[in-house]
Amino acid sequence: MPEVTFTQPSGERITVSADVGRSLMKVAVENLVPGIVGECGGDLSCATCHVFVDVPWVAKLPPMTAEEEQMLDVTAEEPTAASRLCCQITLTEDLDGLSLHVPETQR
Amino acid sequence: MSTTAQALLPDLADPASFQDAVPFGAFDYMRSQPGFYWQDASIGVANGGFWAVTRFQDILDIEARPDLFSSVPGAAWPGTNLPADPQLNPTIDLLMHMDPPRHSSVRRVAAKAFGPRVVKNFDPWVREIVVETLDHIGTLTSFDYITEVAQVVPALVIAQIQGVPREQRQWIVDRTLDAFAAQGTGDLAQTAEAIEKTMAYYREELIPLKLREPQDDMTTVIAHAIERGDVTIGEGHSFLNLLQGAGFETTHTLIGQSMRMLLEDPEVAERTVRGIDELGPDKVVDEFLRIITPAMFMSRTASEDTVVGGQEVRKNDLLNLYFIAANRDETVFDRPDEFDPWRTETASLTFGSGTHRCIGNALAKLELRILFEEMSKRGFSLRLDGEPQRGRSVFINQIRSLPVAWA
Repeated sequence: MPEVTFTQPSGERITVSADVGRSLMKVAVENLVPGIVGECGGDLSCATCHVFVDVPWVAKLPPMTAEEEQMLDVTAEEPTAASRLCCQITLTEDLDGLSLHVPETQR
Repeated sequence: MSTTAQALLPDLADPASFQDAVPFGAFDYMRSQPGFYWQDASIGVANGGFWAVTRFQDILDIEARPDLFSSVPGAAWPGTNLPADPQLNPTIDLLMHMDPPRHSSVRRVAAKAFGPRVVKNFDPWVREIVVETLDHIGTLTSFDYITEVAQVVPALVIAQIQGVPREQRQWIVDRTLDAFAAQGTGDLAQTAEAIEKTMAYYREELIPLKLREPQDDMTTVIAHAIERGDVTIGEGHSFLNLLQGAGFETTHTLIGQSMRMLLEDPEVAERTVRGIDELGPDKVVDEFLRIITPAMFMSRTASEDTVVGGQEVRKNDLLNLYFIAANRDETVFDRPDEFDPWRTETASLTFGSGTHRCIGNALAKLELRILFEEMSKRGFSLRLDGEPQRGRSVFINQIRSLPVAWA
């Protein structure tokens, strides 16, 4: 099972593991990772699962759809080139060790 | 349930039950009982009534499953059990009456305009509207806070967002009030007629104007989205109409009810002033939002037989999700009836939850925050100058009149 680490604004690191094929947002919400809201349930209509992907991992993720890019305008915190909505990240074996930062606010 | 207790419970389908006050005691009782409370109703329902859902977690669970609990037959009883045939249903293109994936594609177009970072930039011009409004009441001696402040600020704010020219703003606000009154009757024909007046204005006047002279406003965004084919004509027009109503009625209720609480309860007044001082206005605004809950519920319809919250529900059963009751759920909020801006449990259901969570929530908070900031800057101090009047609504925690004078 791939492991993913969410680093909180406080510096606290939370590592979760889950089955391949699952949505990273859902995994984070089920593991009560603070700061990942996922209000719309993965519908790509709320932008409350914003994460900053640690730079080495940015290029290893599948590219953004136009819809995801559009929804980055709606995030509470200013997005960067490393921003993703984690409902759009599906876990694969290749993502084992993925490391992300959680923004200060999601709303 | 004992028949005595049942006899004492208010009829949630009757506006009279909300005329004097929100029946919080009854909601507390319903929350303490297993399953949901069944309320008989004769309109807006397929199965003879609706379930009153009053617990916080049950509402989260229901709103997280649009596949099981649909918004398509209507989202606010009695405007529910609507026909699926678009010819018979004037609200078929309303964002609130959609499930994913249709909902998602329309919502994305609108969400951009109300994101938290976008709304932050509204501060200067919203403040201008608030300052203008306060300048005006400064010239009055005694007045109705509802008509002079609570209605004016959100009406001007939403008109600005839509790009309605100044001289047409009062007209469009009056149409919004008409549509709310019509929806409250549950009469589809009357509702359609009221909605059509606003829709015709957007369709025939404002959208053509914005296509000729694009501006930084919502009508321009929607006009272009229709042209590009991102939304249909019906979806675009319905969204503009929805914004008009949603941005107005609930915010006006929030502004009016918060002032009523401040004037009637010295403890609320003291905690508001001290809270703004110690915590900043945002947490005070959040606590008013929780305790007032302007839109008291939203509705969902079960799309199949299922069990939720310990209750068996049948296909087509209507569930009214009483946010106003859940916001005082004692398993979630400590001393739930107490106004306490310092509380740490701040995630309320005032804006609902899930994919339909209120798109304008950042804007509503901004309006009340700026109003508090500007009032306290001026040291404005009001007192009650007559009997406040609630509205007759099963849906909105309405206040119709709040006579005040300078203290």
